Parts: sequence; structure tokens; C-alpha cells
Amino acid sequence: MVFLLGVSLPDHKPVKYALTSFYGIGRITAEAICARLSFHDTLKIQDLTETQLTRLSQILNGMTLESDLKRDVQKNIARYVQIRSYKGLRHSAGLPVHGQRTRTNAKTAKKLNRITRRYSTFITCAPRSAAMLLERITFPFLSILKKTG
Amino acid sequence: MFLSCIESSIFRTTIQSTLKQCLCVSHAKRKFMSVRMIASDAKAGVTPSSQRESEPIAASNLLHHNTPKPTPLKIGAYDAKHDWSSTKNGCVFSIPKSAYEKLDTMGSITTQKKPFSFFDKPALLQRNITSTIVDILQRRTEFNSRDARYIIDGEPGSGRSVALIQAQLYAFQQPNILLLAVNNCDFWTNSTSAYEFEENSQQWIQPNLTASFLKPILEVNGNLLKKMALSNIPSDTPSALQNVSHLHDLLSIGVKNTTAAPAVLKLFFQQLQQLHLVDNAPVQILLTVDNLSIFTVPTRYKDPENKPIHPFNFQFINMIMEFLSGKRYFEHGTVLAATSSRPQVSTPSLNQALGKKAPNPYANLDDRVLQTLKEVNVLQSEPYSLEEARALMTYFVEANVCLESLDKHQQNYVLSGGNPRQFFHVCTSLT
Repeated sequence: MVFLLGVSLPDHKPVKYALTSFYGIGRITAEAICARLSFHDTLKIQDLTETQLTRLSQILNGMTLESDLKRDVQKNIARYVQIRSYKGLRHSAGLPVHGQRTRTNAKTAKKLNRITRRYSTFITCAPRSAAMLLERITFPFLSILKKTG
Repeated sequence: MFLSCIESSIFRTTIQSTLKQCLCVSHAKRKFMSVRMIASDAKAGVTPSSQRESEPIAASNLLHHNTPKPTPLKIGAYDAKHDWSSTKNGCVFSIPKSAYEKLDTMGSITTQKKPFSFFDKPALLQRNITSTIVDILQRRTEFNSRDARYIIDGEPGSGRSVALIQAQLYAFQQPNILLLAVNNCDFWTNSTSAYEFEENSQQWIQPNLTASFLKPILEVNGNLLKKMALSNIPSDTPSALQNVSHLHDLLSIGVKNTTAAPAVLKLFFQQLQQLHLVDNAPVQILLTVDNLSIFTVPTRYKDPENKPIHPFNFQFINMIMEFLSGKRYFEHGTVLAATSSRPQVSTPSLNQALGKKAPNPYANLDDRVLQTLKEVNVLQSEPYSLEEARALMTYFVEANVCLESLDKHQQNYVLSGGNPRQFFHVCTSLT
């Protein structure tokens, strides 16, 4: 097991698939990273040398991943809400943002779209309306507290 | 009960004649059924006739019943005195264990191992293309490889790789032929081995694969390499290789140290371009390349901009193609390459270069491939003739690999269309 930026990468996995374990790196980005570092397709995590690991860490440090990326997404959503844009209103209401139908379906949006957006449908919590109501009440106070430091 | 009933001689004779009429068995089948008249004959003192002898018979006799036995095929042995002349075309020759092991070391028989496993001794059929290649190799003792660049082309399963194997077998016979065989061409392009960019030569190198290429050359040609000394070493050669005396020592360094393998390969090919004399005879170089097709399409390796790397940008592939194009040449040598359909790739540039397709100004072709293969001679690997099919089927029947009779050779020839691979499948299929 190799720990890189807080994520454990299994030894037996090829590098270009192991990199997709990071939040913020998909298949295309992983292939681009491997091409940049001249890693062949079947190079496994356990076969990486120290030099290669160092170069990989340098590249990953230069990218926005994991919690930094999640924080950026939250900030963007909060900005939409604060300026009371259409997208912000849709996030607040827990409804689809990109023009999808709401007469039927829209289940994913109703589960995940929040002011503080969730990232998984497997999380169980309080009923939608109660959680959203709590967020709407507490969000203005939280934003004021952040501004005042 | 039945045996007790036939104790009396008269009743027994009647029963026997009745059995003969009812069963209507021929001589061979009766034998196969192995019916015994034991106790009654012994008691009566009647000697059993030859027709009542119960002998277990092998299935082959039953299957080949009423068909004339094929004339035993004389399978020649491949040895130092093997006759490669065209008079022996259509003859099957077996490969001894020593040559088989050399071929296996070189990696030349990877796809042929499965068909060879059917037989006690692997054997090959000598064909027209074999004698053509041997003629070329025999004539090459006085000319450089610039005039001896050949590509063997043909339909899938037509025997291109086997023609290369036969050329290699000829090379094993000759003491002064140095064999360089490139057989795992797809490994050089399918992004399964480490690769890195060399700033000096502005080319991509593959150290592990280079070392794996040098190793079988060292094992198969060890004795000859020990007699070939280095000379005129370029000044840009790494210092570790400057003081090497013979090519055998040079290749040993490349095999043991993978990081030095690319430099060793570069020096090795530079040395082979010079004239070498062993026992007052020039050393002839035979370079065989199986699956040339994969070198004419973009590789699966990617450059830092995530674009596929052209195969000619790799040091090894570039060297091989330079020998094939005539840009580099051996003082005495031949370059033989064979196209392949495994793995199946689309090769528009190669097809254009070999003249298989009419020139298409709108097709997106690779100029580098076209320029490289512009003036290479093409040898066509033809399907079997009927006589070759008969000779081969005779061998299959003799080896108990084919369960059909020899007169089916024409049927199998038609079914397979003369294609060697299909002919083997048709002859050896059980349905």
C-alpha cells in the first residue's frame, strides 16, 4: 500500500487505474498524468521507484484534489446561493439545476442537491424537508460568522 | 447356457455357420469383435480356424479397413547435411531437439508450439518459398544487405512466419551466419514495458525490452560472437564499453545491466555494419523480423503531451527500419521481414507500400512508412499445391494425427483452399 495525499493506493493496481481513486482524477486525467511521467500502461504501484513516486507526488500536489476540490465546489454553490441566482435557488430547493424535468424523476437532485451539497446517495439522514429547513435557517448565520472571522 | 448347448459337434457347426451368415462380418470386424469359441473347441479338439482367432485390433485398422495403407513417408532429418535445394520441395523434414530449443530461445515458435505439440517430433514442409529464401541467403555471401531486403507477404495462415523459421534453421546450419531474430514485435509497441526519452539521440528507449532482445542473440550465437572483435568504436560510446574486446562481452554487459542495454544495442549494430572475418570467412548477418505490420501503425505509448508515439521514434524500431530501408546495411547480410495478421491491425500505409492497394491521394497515410518500404522486394507466400497437401497429409496420417484416409487429401485441400493453417485444422479436426 502506498499512501499519497491521504489516499491509499493498492500495490497490485496499474498506476493509471489507481490514480482514479483520488477525488478529482478520472480516467482521462489519470492517463494524461501517466503519459506526462512516461509510465507505461501495465506499470503497477508496487513497481514505482522512489524517483517516480516523488515526481507523481509533485504533479498531484499541483492539482486541486480531495478536500480542496470539495471545498471549492461548496464555495461555488454558496456563491450562487448568496447572489440569489437561479442555480442558487435550485440548490436551495434541492431540485435539479441544469434544466431537467421535475414532474417525474429528479430523484438524485432531491437527494444530493443542498446548499452544502452531499456527494453520495448512500448517506441516510433526516427527511429531506427537515434537513433543508435546518440548512436554510442556519446558513445565513454561518456565512456571517465566516465573514466576521 | 449358450455354450452348453453347442457341445455336440454337429449342433456347433450348424450354429457357427448360422452365426456367420447372420452377422455377415468381414475378416477385420470379426477380429475386432473378438468372439471366442473356447470350451467347446478345446473339448472337441477342433483347432480354431484363422478366421475365428480372437485378437484385439487397434481402432486404426478398423478405420482404415479396405483402404490401401499409405506408402511410408520418408521424413528427412534436418541436420548439417540437409539438402535445401528445390529438388526437395514438397518433402517434410523434422526438426531435431537442439534446433528446436534454439528456435524457442529466439521466440520464433511461440504460435507454432501448439500445432507442434500434436507430433512426437516437430516437422516442417519444404516449399518453394523455402528454396527461394535459401537461394537468397546463399547468394548473399558477397553482397551487402542493401540489395537483400525482403518482405514475406501473404494471406493469414499462409506460412510467412514458418518461412522465417526455415530461414533461421538454414542459418543454424551455417557456421558463419549470425542470426538476429525480432519475434515479439507487439511487445515493443503495446505499452507493456518501461520507456524513457533519451536526450542525446532524441529518441525513446526501452531498456528492459532491449536487454531481452540481446539475451537470446547471446545464447544462440555465443560461439560466433566470441570470435568477433570490436573495432572503430565511436568516441561518443560510454566509457564502460570502450574497453570491451569482443561482441560476446559487449552483449553480456547489456544483458546484465538493463540501463546500459540501449547503449550496448547502438554499439552492437554499429559494429555489425563493419566487416568481420571469422576463420578467414566473412560473417554473414541474417536479420529476421516477424510481424512487421505492428511497426507501421502508431504505438500505444504516449508522449508527455498524451499523443501516441510514432514507432520510428523508438531507438530499436528505428534501427530495424533503417536496415530494412537500406539506410543502414550489413557488409554481408540479408534482411527478411514478414507481415502478420496477429494481432490484427489495420495497416493502410503498409498495404500501400507493398502495392496491395492502388494509390489513394485522399487516404491518410504515413509518409515515413512509405519512404522506408519504398524499394523493398516482396516475396509472396503462396497457398499449398495439391502435391504439397498430399505430402503433408501423408505425414499427418503416418503420425496418427489425422484419422482420415489419405484419399481425403483432395477434399481437405479444397475445404481449406490450400491455406496451410486451415489445412492443418481441417486434417486434425475430429468432426
